[in-house]
Amino acid sequence: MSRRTKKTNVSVMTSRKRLVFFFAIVIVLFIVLAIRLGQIQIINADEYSSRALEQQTRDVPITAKRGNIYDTNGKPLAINQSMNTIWVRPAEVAEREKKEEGYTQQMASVLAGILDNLTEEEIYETITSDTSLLRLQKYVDDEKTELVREAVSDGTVTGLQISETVKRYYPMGAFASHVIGSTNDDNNGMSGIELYYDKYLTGTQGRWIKNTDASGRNLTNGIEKYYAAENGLNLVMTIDEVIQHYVESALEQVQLDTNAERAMAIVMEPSTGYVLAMACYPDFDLNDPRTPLSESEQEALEGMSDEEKVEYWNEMWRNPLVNDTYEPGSPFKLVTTSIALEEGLTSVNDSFYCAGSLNIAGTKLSCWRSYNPHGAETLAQGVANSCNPVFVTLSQRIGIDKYYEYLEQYGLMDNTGIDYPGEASAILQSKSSAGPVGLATISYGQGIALTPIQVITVLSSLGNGGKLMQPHLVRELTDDEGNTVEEFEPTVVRQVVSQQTADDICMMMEGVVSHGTGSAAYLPGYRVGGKTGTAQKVVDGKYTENTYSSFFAMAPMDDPQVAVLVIVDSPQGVHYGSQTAGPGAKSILSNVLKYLKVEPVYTDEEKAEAETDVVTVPDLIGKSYASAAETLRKLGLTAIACPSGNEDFEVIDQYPKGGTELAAGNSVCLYSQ
Amino acid sequence: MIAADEWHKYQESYVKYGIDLAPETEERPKKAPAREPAVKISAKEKGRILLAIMAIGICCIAVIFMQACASSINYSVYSLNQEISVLEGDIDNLHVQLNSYAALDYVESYATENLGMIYPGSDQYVNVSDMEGSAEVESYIADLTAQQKGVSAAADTEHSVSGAARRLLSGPSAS
Repeated sequence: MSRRTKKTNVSVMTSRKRLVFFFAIVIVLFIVLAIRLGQIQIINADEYSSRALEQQTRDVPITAKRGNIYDTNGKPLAINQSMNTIWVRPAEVAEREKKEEGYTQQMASVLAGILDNLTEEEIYETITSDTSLLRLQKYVDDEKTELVREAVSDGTVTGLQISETVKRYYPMGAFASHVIGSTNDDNNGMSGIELYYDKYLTGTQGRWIKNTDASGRNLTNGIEKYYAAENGLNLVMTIDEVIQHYVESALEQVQLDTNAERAMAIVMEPSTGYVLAMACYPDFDLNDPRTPLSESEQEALEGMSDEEKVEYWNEMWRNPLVNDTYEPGSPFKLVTTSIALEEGLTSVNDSFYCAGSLNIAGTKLSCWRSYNPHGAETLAQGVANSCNPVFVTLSQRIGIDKYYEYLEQYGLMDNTGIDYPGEASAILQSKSSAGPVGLATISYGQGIALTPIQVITVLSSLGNGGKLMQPHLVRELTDDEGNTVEEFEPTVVRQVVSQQTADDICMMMEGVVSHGTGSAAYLPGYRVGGKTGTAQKVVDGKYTENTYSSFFAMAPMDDPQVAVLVIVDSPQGVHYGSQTAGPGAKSILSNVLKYLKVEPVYTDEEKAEAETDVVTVPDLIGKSYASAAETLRKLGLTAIACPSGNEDFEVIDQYPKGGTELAAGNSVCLYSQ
Repeated sequence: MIAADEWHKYQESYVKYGIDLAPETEERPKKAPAREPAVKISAKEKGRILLAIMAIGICCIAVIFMQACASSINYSVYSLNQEISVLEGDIDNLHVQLNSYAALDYVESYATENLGMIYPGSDQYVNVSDMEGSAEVESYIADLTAQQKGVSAAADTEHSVSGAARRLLSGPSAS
């Protein structure tokens, strides 16, 4: 073999060896890779799958919209408002601070100029904290949010994130506050109807499960499952916005006239038990439930400790018409009368004698007019005069067993079942220990404590043919499209007294207004029945000098469409129900009957009286307001400056015009512009 | 033993006669590597193959392009959905404002303070219950209509009473 061949053979061998060597290395590497692949794909497959799923999958909650609350005519009382929440990542702010000294302070200054209720110091503290993500402010409106977005885009601020949120909003503000209630920051009902119907209003949260990239955008081929949210149901209340407005205006005037602690009222439809209005004054703005409307109260609140504030707020939000009891006083005499009539123990023309007081088991129980006793009177006159001895006599005839039986029939041993949280129960003396004196005091409405809703429910039954109805605040539940999901029909609890008894009571109630203590509620053209009440207020188990003065009225008495109960808590000065609560009830009835299109039917006497009081309005244009007002006053008319607030002007126009015939007691508007 | 290819070196008798007995190293003709029979690909087939490769390439590119488009559209959809929810929020807020202005307290205060309106007195109400040919009601509606149109009330009532008023006057049976 030649040397060349040998050399060639050697080099070939060497190349081959190298080739094999490298091939072996590659094989080994491939084997290692395969093993690693097997480890990842097979052995640890589950672990990596779940981690990938965790990273890529976002479970986005779809917030369900809270249901709205409407009045009986569909006017919104509580709705949802879209607002924004501003979040900050302090770490990003700190990073920027490293590059630009003083940036953080400047950012705090810029944000303080945009956001309400936050000082520069508070913002600085938040954006320099150690937490990774902090909420800077909640419920920021669109205008301010836009300013924040502009500041972010031009680099003035950094590390901010804006998310949408929904806030409960009450468009009427301080309206039906004690009835509707409010929600907390998590949109859960806190009080009132918002709390009672919370599970219907809340709805069910949805979910959107999707695969996303790092920026949160959907992956095209990723999985996606969407579970739609079920929005909460809407409530349609029995409350009528117009009637509620009349009631709140009347209560404001009553509170002003009597300087009382509180004035409250309920308006109910006797035939259905629907509550058309329920108000307590002073009230509060539902959009800011922690701030009292009165400036003096606001100042007082600021000086309170946290515990005192909580107690104050609970007292402010409490609805005394359902949650508190009071001694009803004289209106309860109608119950005593109805029991006696139903049992045949008396009649409308039955005779009684008031000597100013009565002795029951050694206890002297006086009439309110003991200084000038009523003397001989019929039952109807006794009701009109609100004479205590008449009802004490009736209670003795009825007896304690039968009386308590009727109290149970009237539903006073239980709650009314109104759809409102925290309904209080009546406080009754135990039958075994009440004795004749207890029974006697109960007969005229003292020694028994009821909630106002119980009082109006019981008395309304007398205007409903003796049928006791369950009171309702909500008429129906509807969905987003307005379809009725559930309807709450009027509920008859039971027939307590007969139609005849109820008619007799209604007739006597009319006598109270036309000839008795309830004349303050007299309305020409309308048959109004009522009963006044003035009961001593109990504080810490003792009677005080303060009173709960009340007036219960119904109209029109031939077919009662509306029942009103007005209660004045601790009026100052005059404290009789007829003079404190009576004008309020009259104002409410006057407006509500017109609103319900109940036409007045004037008697001949009323027509004649109206005609004799008519005067001719003089032409007052060009006169000074003071002079014009004096001229009108002499004619029995009242001048009103329009617009109000300025009474130093020359009259440029008037309504009614000069020459118009007007009944005395009316007003003439004098315009300055 | 002498290797066969070196035998000739030891044959001197042949060498002196000039006979070179050295074997002629014939160069073996290198065997040409077995060639596969040449496959002749026509130009047409080459073209087809090229087209096929191009088509596959285009398809691959198209798939990638569509994926990119889908992602982009997805993102647009996401952005639009975000915009929709913001606009829905704006609509809700406008409803909120509208409802605030419709609150009776606001309406009453605006009417009395800004527009100088007052509540009518008890004798300034007109109860219209009997609609059948009531001359008083017809005259009243005619006056109101004339005031609205700015026409004198002395004009012909037949022309000034609107159709709606006529239907009102003719009573429920006419509706």
